[in-house]
Order: sequence, then structure tokens, then C-alpha cells
Amino acid sequence: MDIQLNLIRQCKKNDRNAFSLLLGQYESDVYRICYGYTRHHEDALDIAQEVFVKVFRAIETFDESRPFYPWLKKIAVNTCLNYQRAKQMGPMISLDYNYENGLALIDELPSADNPEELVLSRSMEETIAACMISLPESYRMALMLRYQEDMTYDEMASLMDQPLGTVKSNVYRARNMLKGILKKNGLLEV
Amino acid sequence: MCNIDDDLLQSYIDHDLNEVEKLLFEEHLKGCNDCRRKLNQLKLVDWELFHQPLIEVPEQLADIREKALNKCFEELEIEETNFGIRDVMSVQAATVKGAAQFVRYIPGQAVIRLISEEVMEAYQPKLLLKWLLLKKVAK
Repeated sequence: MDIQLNLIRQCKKNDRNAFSLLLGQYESDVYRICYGYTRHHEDALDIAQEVFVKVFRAIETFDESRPFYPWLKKIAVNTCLNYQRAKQMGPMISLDYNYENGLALIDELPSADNPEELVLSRSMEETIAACMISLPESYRMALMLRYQEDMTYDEMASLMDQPLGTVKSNVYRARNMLKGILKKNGLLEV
Repeated sequence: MCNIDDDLLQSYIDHDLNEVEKLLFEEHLKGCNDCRRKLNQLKLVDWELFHQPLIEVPEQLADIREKALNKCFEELEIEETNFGIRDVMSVQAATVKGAAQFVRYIPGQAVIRLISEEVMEAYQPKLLLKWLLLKKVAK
């Protein structure tokens, strides 16, 4: 029998070790989804913990004929979205809110002394990471799934129970927003 | 200024256009500096997004997992030791079952059951006849 399926069956019998092994296999993926979306270490850990609890409670309903990771990913994505809604983040985010890379939105504002210094001293990837934070949550989720999880638009639509058009339009708009910010900062001179 | 829909550029970098659309768009690109510039910028954004550094996973994640499992198993234990509504229902079901068993051992119960079965058998054809007659009258 498939080792993983066996593990899942053990989990359904509330076997503690089986849960540790199963979650241990996927915890990095769960954390990356949570961090890719929140861009905040503590929040990502909080959400990951919530995801583990949800998996424990829902494992009974898991259909063994289907693959485990997409099921887990759906739980992680929904938990992320609900967590953000509960926290009322997005547009209400504090300017001092410190993200893992040590950047806060306040750093995004041009300083009075030298407006270009900050932006120019930062690499493209750092700027993109900082810009991701300021995107609306639906755009951030769309980009995370598309690029980090390497999902197709169809897979994303099915995972988030959204129409294909909405998913595409979120990615398009998010890319346009990033393009606009990078262009403004002179990082898109091609 | 070119008035090509921006979504077309986006679909192009996603390889989401059909062959005809792709051919027509590539023909347009040859003569449109504006679209070529926009497309290159978009390709750069796309490339950067695909090549973001892999997120490092913190060591304390394993502790978080164990903490979550501790919480779950503690809750499970409480559920098992608590006397909930399901337990009340199962006690009541057992009581009713016991009472039904008791009725079977009332003195004379076997005779009553035998008589009632005979009476039912005797009356059933008559009842059927009565019902058929009533139906006929109703017609």
C-alpha cells in the first residue's frame, strides 16, 4: 500500500505519530504559502498552526482517492484569506508594520533628504518583495499561487472557487501594478 | 499611441493566445514600438516574479506543528472524558432497550402474544373485505 495513504489512514485513527510525520512532510510547503501571502514571519507561523489544527479536524473527510497536497493547499489558502480578513489588513496596514526583510511601508515613502537613495540602493527582487506587501490581498494571493506555487490559471480557479476570468484579471492587474511601481522607480529601463 | 488592449500583452506572455491571435499580435509588434516596450517591461516583471528567492523555512516550524498537535489531542481527550449530549442519548437508548427486554419476561406474555397473533390473523381477511366493500360503495 502507498506509504502516504497508510499514513493518512493512521491519522484518521488519531495516531499522533502519523500526524507528526504527515504534517512534517508538508509543513515547509504550508509555511511558504503562508509567508508568500502575508510576507510576515509571525503571521505565517500563526496561520501555519491554524492550518495544522484544521487538517487534524478535517482529515476524516479527506477523500483517499484524491491527492493530498492540493487538499492541504486549499485549506492553507482559505486559512490565509480568512486570517487576513479577520486582521483587517490590506489597506489598513500600519506604515510601521515591519516585514521579514526588515522593510516597512514607511520605507517605501521617499525620504525628504534623498528621495531616490532608498529605491536605488535596493535590488529589483527586494523592491518586488516590498511591493508585494502593498498589493490588495486578492492580487497577492493570485501572484503567490501563479509564481511561487507554479499553478495554471485553471488550477487556481478551481482551488479558489473563482471564475477563470477573475483569476486572470487579478494576475494581470497585479503585474501591471508591479510594473507601474518598478517603472516609477526606474527599475524597468529596458 | 497604440490602443492595443493591455490584456492581450498579458495573455501573450502567459502563452495564452491561440495561433492566429499570436501571429496577428507578433505582426503588430513588428511595427509598434509602444507595445514592444510595454511587452519587454511586462516580461521583466514576469521573469522577476518567477525568480524570487525561495522562502526560507524557520526551524521553529516543527515546534509549531507539535504545539498544534498537542492542542488537538488535548481537545480530543476532553471530548472523550466529557459527558456530552451523545452520551445522554446513548444512556437513554440503553434504558429503553432494557425496558423492552423486561416486557418480554412479564408472566403470561407468551400467551398474550400468541392470542394477539391469532386474533390478528382471524381479523385480517374480514378487515380486507370491509375495506373492499367500502371502496365499492364510494364508487
